[in-house]
Amino acid sequence: MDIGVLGLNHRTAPVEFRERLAFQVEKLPHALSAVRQELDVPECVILSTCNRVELYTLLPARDGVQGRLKEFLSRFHHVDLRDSDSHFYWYSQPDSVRHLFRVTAGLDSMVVGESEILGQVREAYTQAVSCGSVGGTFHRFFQTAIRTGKEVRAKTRIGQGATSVSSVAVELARRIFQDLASKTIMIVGAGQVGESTLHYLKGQGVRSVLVANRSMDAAGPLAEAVGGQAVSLTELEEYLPKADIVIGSTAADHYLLTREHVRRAMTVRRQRPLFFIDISVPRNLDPQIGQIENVYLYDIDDLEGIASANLRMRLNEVEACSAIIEEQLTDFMGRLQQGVIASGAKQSLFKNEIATSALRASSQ
Amino acid sequence: MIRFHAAIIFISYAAFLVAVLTGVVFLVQERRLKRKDSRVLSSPMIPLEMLDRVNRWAVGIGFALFSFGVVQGLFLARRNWGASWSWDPKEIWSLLTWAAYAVVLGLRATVGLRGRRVVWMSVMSFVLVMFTFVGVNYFIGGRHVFF
Repeated sequence: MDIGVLGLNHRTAPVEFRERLAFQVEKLPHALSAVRQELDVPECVILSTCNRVELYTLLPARDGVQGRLKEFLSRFHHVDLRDSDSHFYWYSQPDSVRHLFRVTAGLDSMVVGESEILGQVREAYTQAVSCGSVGGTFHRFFQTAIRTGKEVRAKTRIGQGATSVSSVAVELARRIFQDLASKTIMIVGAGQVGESTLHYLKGQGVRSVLVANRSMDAAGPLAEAVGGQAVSLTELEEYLPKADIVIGSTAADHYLLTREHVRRAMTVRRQRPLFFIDISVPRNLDPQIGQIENVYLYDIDDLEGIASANLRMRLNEVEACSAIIEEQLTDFMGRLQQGVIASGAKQSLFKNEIATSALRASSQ
Repeated sequence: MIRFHAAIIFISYAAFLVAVLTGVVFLVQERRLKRKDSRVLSSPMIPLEMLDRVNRWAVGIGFALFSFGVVQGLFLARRNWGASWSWDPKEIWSLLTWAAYAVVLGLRATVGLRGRRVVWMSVMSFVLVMFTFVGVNYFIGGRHVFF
């Protein structure tokens, strides 16, 4: 019996290709039973996310079933895959096992160490279980993989540190303000990063939102979408004292707020702290604002600097993660082999297998 | 009664110490945030607002207790030494300490000063506390013998 995986991810295939082969949740039961019946595969799990599509199968032997799996994909999704070999990867035991462990650890993700993948693997596993396509081997396989993913995140810093501009901004806000739910955010302008930061902050409990824009018409839609109050740019100075966090996100080519504006606002606020997040280029907020006492100003470079530093920190943890993965891999393969055969010769064979495949993996 | 006087003063010193400890943590964190030091996110999550609030409360409680202790001391001095004020070193330095913290609280209450400057002042005022507490006895002497 051999565990194999056929897959494509964000590194091997562009999104236009991946989306054609993605499996919707409703179609999974049908797909899983089709793989089992048409290809005579006793156990299988399909993992389909926005960044990867992977078919994990338990096969009688390494009999080149990957060709038939590709045909299945081609039939199921009505896609011609004849010239697409370069987009796929195929691993047999133990590389396939190592691969899933690396995936749950977040080492194969676009942002190293992200934790969403752990939930996605768990979802794929439970789906397959409810469709009856998981037996003893895959129960142990996927449960060990999920456990390994958790262990890696508990024992290393692979999943720590905010790596996006919005999450860095929120982390900073949490270090300034104690009770975010009682604070008011003012977003000046609109835009993906600004709105994403706004949503993160709302997720932390912020309820009060002011949306400022050139005109009330421009501010209206976003204000309604986030349950906030629309404000026009001419009223900016009037409303500034009410805001605790200000996101600057317009395409304006001049400073919308100067040092004097903020100083006056701080007097009205009786020095309650103000946090400015300026993600616009050119900058909307006069940098001198940052010199005022109890005012904190971060521009896009500052935020990206912290995000990159955190990403570098995560990448430094990859080695420690790989060590944990190899340990779990050896342990799992040992238990797998013991379940099948108890002969000493087979044991030393697979230990050799793991060692050589580890060498190959680390040299890539 | 004298023991009670000493105890009240001692507890007020403890409150001022709490203010200093939270104040120092505040000052370090605040500087990191202001200067965009990347270490700001790796330290534990204790928001500035909370540290500032604890500092304010600690100074407030300390000042209340200290004021009570000073007034009590005036009464005790009149009873035991004949005069409420006799320019005893401990009395002088206690008054200076009292004034320093009065300024800190006053600035917070009237101008609404908060953050770096006023926290720094509460930390510096503790130097006066230390001198009043041990420095006077060690360097100068006087009629306060407990501490």
